[in-house]
Amino acid sequence: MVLLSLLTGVEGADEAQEGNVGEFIIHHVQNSNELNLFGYHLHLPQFDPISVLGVPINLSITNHTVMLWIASIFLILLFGLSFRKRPLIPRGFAAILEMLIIFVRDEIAISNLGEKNGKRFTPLIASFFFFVLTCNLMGLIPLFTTPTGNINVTAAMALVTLVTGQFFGIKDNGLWHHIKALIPSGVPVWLIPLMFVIELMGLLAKHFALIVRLFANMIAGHVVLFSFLSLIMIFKTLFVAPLSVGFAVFVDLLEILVAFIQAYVFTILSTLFIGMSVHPEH
Amino acid sequence: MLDLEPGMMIWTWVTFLVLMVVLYKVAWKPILETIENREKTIQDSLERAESAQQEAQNLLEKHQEMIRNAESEAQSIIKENRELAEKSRQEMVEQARSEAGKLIENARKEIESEKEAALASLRSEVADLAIQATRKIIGESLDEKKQRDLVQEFIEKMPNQSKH
Repeated sequence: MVLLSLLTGVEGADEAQEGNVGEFIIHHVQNSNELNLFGYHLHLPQFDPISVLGVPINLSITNHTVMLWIASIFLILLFGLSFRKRPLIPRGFAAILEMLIIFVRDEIAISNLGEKNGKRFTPLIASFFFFVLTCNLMGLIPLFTTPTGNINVTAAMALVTLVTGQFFGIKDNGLWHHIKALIPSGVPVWLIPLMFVIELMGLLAKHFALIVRLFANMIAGHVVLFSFLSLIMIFKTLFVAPLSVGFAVFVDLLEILVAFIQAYVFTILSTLFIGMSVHPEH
Repeated sequence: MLDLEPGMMIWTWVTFLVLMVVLYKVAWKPILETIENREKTIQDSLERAESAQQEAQNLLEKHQEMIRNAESEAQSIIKENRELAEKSRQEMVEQARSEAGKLIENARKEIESEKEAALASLRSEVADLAIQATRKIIGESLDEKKQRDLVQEFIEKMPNQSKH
């Protein structure tokens, strides 16, 4: 993306001379209706919005949608091909993937959900981890964008966490116990209605934080990266280029770290929230 | 940038759910099963190794016990044999000693009797010789009875030293 951004950056510099750099940066992190194929912009199919219960739903294929598909196909091929043969002890690349899966199972799932529920939710949690990680890392590859830098994608993922937690909470504990578990024990009776509302808001706030954390972290790195590169356009001189590019490379490397950390954080918080619903006493 | 687009969310759900189902079939299920099988195998192997070690330990203890028993048994046998040997040696020595004593006694008795006999014959010889000599000297002057009495008297007067 650094290389590409340099190219498109210089190319877009003409527009930036008239418009402002901020718009240019936002344009690059935003979802779009076209796919950049080595400079050729492929227009993706657009559909008219359909209206469900008065809410217009635009199911047009966007850049980020395609990126999600690419991430999914990549993951399916990666795991499918790496584990085609299934020896008792995998070697090479499969061993690295297996180590990551064992990490997700033991350190994220089992340590937060316990032995039984941990194993039960491992497929979901592992899907979360690898999907979010792949989406996070995609933005660092030229021609690709970061779908997790789109708030709708992170919102959808967090809703999966919320729905999973509530569904299995109700399934395991029963609807009445599940609702009762929202209110901490030992609260005076007259406070229960208030506490219920507060706890419900807390539950939603936790998932909202999950949405914003991943989205903001993903977008921030890109914005900083583009800002450094935009300095060249702002000062209209190539003398700041070494500094800009140096910092941009540094931020790019930092982004790799952030991609891993945020994938881990998103996964572990999702697991915690699911765990809170499934084992209300904890 | 912060606009909510339900379409995008729906696409995310669809993609994620399809991905999860496919990955479950392709990856999670087989991989997790393999991992669990391996863990089970390792666990079993460890347990087997532990029980084998326990068994070996028991055997070792048993063998040590057996060796200790055998050693003490050998010690007691050696001691017993030594005592037996000592006793039989003592007996043999005793027996030998008594036998030797008896032999010496017998020999002494025999010597005594031989000496007795020799003395008696010597005495009679000496008496005869004396009679003959006397007869030659005094020539038939005395009858045999008188002579014999005379000699007997003479012998009895002889110093008693040779008797014992």
